[in-house]
Formats: sequence, C-alpha cells, structure tokens
Amino acid sequence: MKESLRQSMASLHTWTGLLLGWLLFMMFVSGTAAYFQEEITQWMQPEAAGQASPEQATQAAVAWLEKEAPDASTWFITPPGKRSATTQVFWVPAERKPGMRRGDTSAVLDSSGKLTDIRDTRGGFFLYRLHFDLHYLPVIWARYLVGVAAMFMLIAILSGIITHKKIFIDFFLLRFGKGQRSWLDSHNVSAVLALPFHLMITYTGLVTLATLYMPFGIAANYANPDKFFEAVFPDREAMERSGQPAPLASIDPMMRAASADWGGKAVGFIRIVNPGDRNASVTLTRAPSEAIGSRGETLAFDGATGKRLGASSPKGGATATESVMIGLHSGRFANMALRWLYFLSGLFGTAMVGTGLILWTAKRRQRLPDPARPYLGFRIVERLNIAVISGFPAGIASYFLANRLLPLTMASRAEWEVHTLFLTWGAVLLWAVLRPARRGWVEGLAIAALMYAAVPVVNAATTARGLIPSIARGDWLFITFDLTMLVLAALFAFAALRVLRHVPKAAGSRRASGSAAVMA
Amino acid sequence: MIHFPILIWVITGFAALCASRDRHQRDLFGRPLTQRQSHALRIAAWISIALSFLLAIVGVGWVLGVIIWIGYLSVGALVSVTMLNRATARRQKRK
Repeated sequence: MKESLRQSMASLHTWTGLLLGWLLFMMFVSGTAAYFQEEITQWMQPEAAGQASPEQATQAAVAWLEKEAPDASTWFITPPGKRSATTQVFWVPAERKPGMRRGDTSAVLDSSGKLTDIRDTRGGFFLYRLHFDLHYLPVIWARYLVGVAAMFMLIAILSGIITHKKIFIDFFLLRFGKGQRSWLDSHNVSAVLALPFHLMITYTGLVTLATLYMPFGIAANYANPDKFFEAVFPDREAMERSGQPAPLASIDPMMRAASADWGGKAVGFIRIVNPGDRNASVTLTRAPSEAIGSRGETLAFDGATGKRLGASSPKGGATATESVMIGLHSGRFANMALRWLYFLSGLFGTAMVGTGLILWTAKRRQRLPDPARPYLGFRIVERLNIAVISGFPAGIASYFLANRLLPLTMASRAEWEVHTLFLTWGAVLLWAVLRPARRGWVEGLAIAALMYAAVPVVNAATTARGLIPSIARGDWLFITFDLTMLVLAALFAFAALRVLRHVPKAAGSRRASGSAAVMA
Repeated sequence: MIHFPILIWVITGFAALCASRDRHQRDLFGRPLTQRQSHALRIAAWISIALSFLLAIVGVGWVLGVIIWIGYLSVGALVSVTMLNRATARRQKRK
C-alpha cells in the first residue's frame, strides 16, 4: 500500500458515492418531499377542507364502521390531527377473501363520519413510501437495496470528511464560473454546511430498518423472530371473540383520559379489537407529532365497559434510543419551523448528491482523450445524471399534475398517478439518451421547470382553490404549495439557462485559462 | 417567536467568522484587516453563536432547542456563503 490514507479515502469516496448515487438522489428528493407528506396529501385532496375535533371525528368514524364493517376483527382509526383534515379508517375483515384490495378495507371520512368524495390518490404518503419501498419491486428487495445505498452513503460521508483537505479553511468558499472547481465548491458547501444533518439522517435511516439488515442478534436469542417483537413491543394479547354482542363504549372519554395521562399529548391512533363484542378492547397510541420518540405510549381500555385496562410499560434504554432515532429521522414531531429546517436540510443533501454526481463527470471531461466521443462509462454516468437529476423531479411534478388532470372516475386512478411519475421519468431518460449531452441537460431541466410552473396553473384551472382564491381565503397550505412549485420552477429554469449560456473552454486553451471565468 | 433572534445571532456569528478569515477579507473589505481586528471578529463570532445556542435552549427547551439550533446553523452558514460569493463576484467584475 503506497497510497496515503487520504488518497485511498478519496477513491473510496468517489466510487461508493457514484455506484448508487442515482438511487440516493431519488431517496433524498422523495424523503425531503415526505417531510410535507400530510400537506401534500391535503393538496392532493382538494375536496377535503376545514378542521375537525379529533374526538368527534373518531366517534363519527366508529359509527360509520359499525354500519359498514360490523364483523371486522379489528378497526384502525387515524383521527384528523394538526396537519390533516380527514379521518382514515382501515379494518381487518373477519375472513379475508381472495382478490381483496387496499380500497376494499379502508376509507377516508370527513369529520362527521361521512364517506368523502375525495379523489382516489395516494397523496404524499406515496412519496414517503417511495423513499424506502421504491416501486414496482418486491418491498423486501427494495428495502435491502435502500439499505445498501444508505450504508454506501455513510461510507461516502465518512471518507469524504477525511478526503476534504481544508474542511474549516474552505468552509465559506463557493466560487462560481470556475468549471470543475465550482462543482467541487458546491459539493463541499452542501455537504459541510449540513453535515450534522447528513450524518444523523444516514445513520438513523439505517436504524429504522436495523432489525431487517442485522437480524443476527434476534436470531441468536429467539427461536422465532415474532417472539422478539412480542417481547419488545408487548401488546395486550388479543382476546377471543366471546360471541356475546355488547355495544362499544364511547371513545371520547377514553381519548381524554389518555391525553390527560400523557400530559396533554394528543391521541394519534386508535385500534379496536373485536368491535361490538363483550371482549372488545380499545388501544390508544400517542400521536407522533407530540414527542420525538416514534413509538408512542399506549393506553388500553375495555371496549364494552370503557374501563381502563393498563398502559404500556416504560421502554428500556435500547428501545427508547431506537424510538428516538427513528423519530429524529422522520421528523413527525417537528413544528412548522423545524419542518422547514428539515426540508431545507434535505435539499442540502439532494444538492450534495447531485453535485457529487456531476463532479464525477466534470473531473473527467477535461481528461477525455476525445471529448467528442467519450468512453462508454462516461457516457452512461453523464446520461444517467441528466435523467435522474432533471427527470425524477419532473416526474414528481407530473404526479401532482396527474392528480388534477386524470378523470375523477377513472379506474385505478391512484395507481395511474404513480404510473405518470414513472412514465415522465422514463420519457426524460429516453430524451437524455437520444440528445447530445448539453442539449439533454438544457431540455431536461427546462421540462422540469415547465412542469413545476404548470402545477399552480392547472390547480387554478381545475379546482376552486387556485392561488388567488387561496390568498383571498388565507388558505396558507395551498398558497405555500403553489409558491413552492413556482420557486422550484424558477430554480430549474435558472439551471437550464446557466447550462444554455455556458461556454465550454476551447480544447486548446485548457491549461492557459486557469483563472478565466467560464460562465458569463 | 424565539426563532427570529436565534437565526439573527447565528447569521451574525457566521458572518463575523467569515470576515475574520484573512483570505476572505480582501473580497469583503477590499483590504486585509489587522491581526487585532481579525481576532476581535473571531471572538465576536463565537460569542454570537454561543448566544444563539443559549437562546435556543432557553427559548425552545433542551431537546427541541438543540435540534432546531443545528438546523439554523446550516441556514446561517448558507447566508454567509452566499454573501461572500456575491462579494467576490462583485469584486471580480470591478477588476
């Protein structure tokens, strides 16, 4: 080993960063968007509006379930919270019929417990699941792939810190118009300025699926992995149905009692086992918005008498740590200010991965033997960069557009919104392959800019909640969403213009023009 | 809103830290500062950042305060980076 530590770390950084860099870019974009998943869902369900009291909405949802799914074995209710207007119910039918689909055992209700005529959409929840479940892929494969990518990310961050020669001296340095040097500056600035976030998010991301990636500790101590989860997350053992009907006690007082128990923290999730039976039980879970730990406290009640059965025991050190780490990753506890900070930090991460990918080509472009005909590896990286950095964001914009433009009565509408995202992405990929690289960049970025600019326009044309009526009504969520789309459109348009105006250095003057500004 | 003063002090801190660096002074002021001035700026920088931390802890609380403060650090540093970048670009244009 003749290489110095820094040199070997540099190659480690380059290749771990590149290999799954495109997947990491997609994960950063979708994860960043998912910090606003509830807000995105509200925007994608423009029919639902207004605020509701969680207690009233829950009681109304129970009434609805008693009518629609009286013999289900379990009901799950997510009452409206600070960031959502609807009640979501889901139930496990007494017997599962083949060919049953998600929509057959779930519903979205309004605060009075009526089925809403909300359009069929997966909303922001889809972007959240895309972040770690990907799509069109068995979930377990996706999670392993995402896990490998996250481990590469962790290696890339640590080796990047060692490689970065002047992490403190160059802290503030961001110089534009200097070609490769500018890409390196941008990569450094986006990485270093939010370094605590990058380290935290990568590490805690791995922790969220740690028992999947490292099952060995459980396998060594428990013959059956299910026993481990029962021991760590004890649940009231489900009572058998007695067969004697008994009306369900009122949920409202249970919710108040639980909230009082938790120092005023709201209930976020309700599980009702054996509804309508003498052996019914109601388990309330603390809302994830109320504390950092993602595994909330629970409190159980007898469903028939309304008597309190008992609370979850306090967590041990390891489980409490895990719960807080997952909570820190997903940021559900965050108030609006912190949520925007999370979002911004996510953008830093996106920029870090994106500039890193571009830097790989910027570094090698100068040394190409024949710039007109780069070698295959270079061409693949270059084209994938265009397709992912401009194509995936364009895909998300098309997902929002599809939400407004697809016919409301369309069959499998929600699925087609998702297909639209991937169709758009695929189209940009094809475009990037067919066009000369520089044109590909300009056009890919311009497509993304146009699609984001179209979102507020289409929203105003197809709903009564366009930007101007929303301003008049003081509907901050819709105002902010539309403005965010416009800002993203401006960013992509700016990037497209920069590439368009960029004058590449003439091959001959490569060495001479050390300080000459490349961009106007 | 405790967030506003936290952000102001973070920005002030990073701006002073940036200005205390010899290599940035020419871009920012057109001339290098004296040793003593740079030193004073560095002390002011760390006091401002410490103050912002204190505000976050007192105003928001221990756990949430630290998380929010780290988030604002990134924002504050970004503001300084952007200001320096603009100042450098202006200076180069004048040349």
